[in-house]
Amino acid sequence: MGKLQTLTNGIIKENPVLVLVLGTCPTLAVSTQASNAFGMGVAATAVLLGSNIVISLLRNVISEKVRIPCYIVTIATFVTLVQMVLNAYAYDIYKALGIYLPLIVVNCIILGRAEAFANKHSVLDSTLDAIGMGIGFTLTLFVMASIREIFGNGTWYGIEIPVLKDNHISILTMAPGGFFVFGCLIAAVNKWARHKPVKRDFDGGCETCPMAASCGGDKAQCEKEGVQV
Amino acid sequence: MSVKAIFAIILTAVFINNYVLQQFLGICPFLGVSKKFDSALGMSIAVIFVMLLATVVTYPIQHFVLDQNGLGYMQTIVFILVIAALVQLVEIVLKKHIPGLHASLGVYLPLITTNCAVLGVCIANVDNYIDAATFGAGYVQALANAFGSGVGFLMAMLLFSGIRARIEDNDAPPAFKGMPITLISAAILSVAFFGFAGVIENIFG
Amino acid sequence: MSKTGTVKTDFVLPIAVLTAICLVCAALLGYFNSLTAPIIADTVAAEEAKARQAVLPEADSFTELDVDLPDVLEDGTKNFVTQVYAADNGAGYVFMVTGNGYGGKGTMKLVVGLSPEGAVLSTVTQDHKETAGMGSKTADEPYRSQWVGVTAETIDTVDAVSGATISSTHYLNSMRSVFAAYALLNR
Repeated sequence: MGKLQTLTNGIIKENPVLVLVLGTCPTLAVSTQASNAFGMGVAATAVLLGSNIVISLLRNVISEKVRIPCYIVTIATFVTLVQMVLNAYAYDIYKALGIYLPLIVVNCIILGRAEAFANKHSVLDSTLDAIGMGIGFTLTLFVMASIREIFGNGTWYGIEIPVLKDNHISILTMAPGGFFVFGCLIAAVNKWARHKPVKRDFDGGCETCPMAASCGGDKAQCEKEGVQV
Repeated sequence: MSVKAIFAIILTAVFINNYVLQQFLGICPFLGVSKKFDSALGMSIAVIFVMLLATVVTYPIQHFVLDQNGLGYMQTIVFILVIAALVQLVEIVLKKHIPGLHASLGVYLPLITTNCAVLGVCIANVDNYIDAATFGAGYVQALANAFGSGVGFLMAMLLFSGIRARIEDNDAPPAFKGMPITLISAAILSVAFFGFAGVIENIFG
Repeated sequence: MSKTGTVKTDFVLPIAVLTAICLVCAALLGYFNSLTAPIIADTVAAEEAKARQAVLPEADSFTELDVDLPDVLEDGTKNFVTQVYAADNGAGYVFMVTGNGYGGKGTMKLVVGLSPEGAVLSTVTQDHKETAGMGSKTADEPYRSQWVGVTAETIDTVDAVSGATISSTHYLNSMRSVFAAYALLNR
C-alpha cells in the first residue's frame, strides 16, 4: 500500500465515521456546534496520533496476552494529557466537551486502529494512518455539526445566518436531530459512492463485536485483524 | 436521603436523561446488538450489572484515594483500568461458579469494557454526586443513578429491537437501506422520549 | 503465544512490560500535571473574574471579603455562597454560589451581582447539569431577567420555569442564601 493511500484511506474510502460507523457516540453528542466538533476532532486526532505512534514503536515488546491493557493505558494517558492541555489553554472547549473528553478513551476508532493497524505496521505508516483517520473523523464531525448548527440554530461559528436565524429548526440541535442528520449523511455517502447499501449481517461472535463494522462482519477477516470478542 | 429523591434519580436516568437516546452514550451496542430481542436483553442485563459494579468500586476510589491525594487527574486512566479488570474478574467468576449465566451473558461481558456508557456513568457519578464532607448520601445517589442508567439502556435496547424487527423488511430507498434507516428510526424513538421531559420533575416536585 | 512458552515468556515478560508501561504513563502524567495545574488554576480564576465583571459591569476592581459564612444561616436557609466580593468603587457586591441542582449536589454554579442596597443587578449561571431544554432554561432568558431588581422581600415574585419546578426551586434556594449572606454582611 502506497504511503499516500495509507493517508487518504481514512479520509474517504475508510472514513471511520461514515463508512466504518465507528466512534458514533462523540459524533452524535458534540456535533451541535461547529466549534465543539472541531475541538473534539482535533483532540481525538491528537490521541490517535500519540497512541498509534507509541503502540507501533512498542509492537515488538508488547506480548499478545497483555496487549489490550497496554493499549488502554497508553490511550488513557494521551487522553489525560489532552484533557490537561485543553483545560489549561482552551477552557471554553474543555467545558463544552465535558464528559465526552475523557470518553475518547473508549472511542472505538482509537482502540480499533491500535488493534487493526498500529500493532503490525511501521511507525511512519501508523502516523500516516492516524493523520488520515483523524482528518476523516474531524471533517465528518465538522460537516455534521455545521449542518446541525446552521439549520438548527441559524448560526455558524458565531456568525448569524440572516434568514435561518429566524426560521431555525431547533430539534436538529437536540438528540433526535443528531440521529437524523447522521442517518442522512450516511445515506448520502451510500448514494454518492454508489456503494451497495451497507449491509451488515453478522452471525455468531461477530454480531456482538464493537468493531464488527470495520471488518464488514466477515468472521475470517475479524480473526485475521486480531479482533477478539 | 429520602426514598422519594432516590426514585426521582432513577426515573430521571431512565426516562429523561436516557443514556442512549438523549446523551448518546453506548451507541455502538445500541446499533450493533439490538437486532435480536434475546441478544439485546442479554447485553442490557450485563450492562446494568457492570454499571452498578463499576460504580460500587470507582466511587470509593475517587472519594478515598484520588481526591484525598490530589490525584484527580488520574481519574480516566484509573477508571478504565478498574472497569477492564472488573469485567475480566466477573467473567472468570461466572465461568467457574455460575456456568449457566456465563453461557447466556458471557459473550457480552468483554464488549462492555469499551462501552462508553459504563465509563460515562462512573465519571458522571463522581462529577455529580461526590461530596468531600460525607460519603454515604452521595454513594447511594450514585448507585441509584447507575441502576437507573442501566435500566434506561435496557429499555432503549428492547424498544429498539422491536422497532428494528419491523423495519428490517421495509421498502426503504436503496441509499437508506441498513444503517441510515436504523438511525432515522432511532431519531423518532428519541423524539418520543421528549414526552417524558418535565413529567418526573412534576411528579416529584 | 506458542504452546512451548516458558514461565518467563508467558508470565514474567508480559507482566513486566505492562507494569513498565503503567509506571512510565503515571510518571508522565504526574509531570505534565505539575506543569499544567498552575495554568489551569489561572484560567479558572480568570474565568471567575470575567463572570464577576459580567454581573457587575460598573465595578472597576474587586476585593474578596473575609466573611465567615456558617453552613446554616440565621433564618434557617442553607448557605451555598462560597465567596463574596465587593466592588472597590462601591458599585455593589458579587456572590459566588455553588448551589444544588437537579443534576446533583453542588452542580449549579451561579454568580450573582447585588447593588449596595441589596437588589439583584444580574445573575449568570456559570455551570449546571440541568436537563437540556427544561431545567437548563434557568440559565437563559427570560428566567434570568426576572431576577433583575428582586430583593429579599420580593423573592416570591419570581415565576418558576414551567415543567422545571425542581430546578427552579434549587435556583430559588441559592438566591435565598445570597440574600441571607447579604443580610449577614450588612450587620
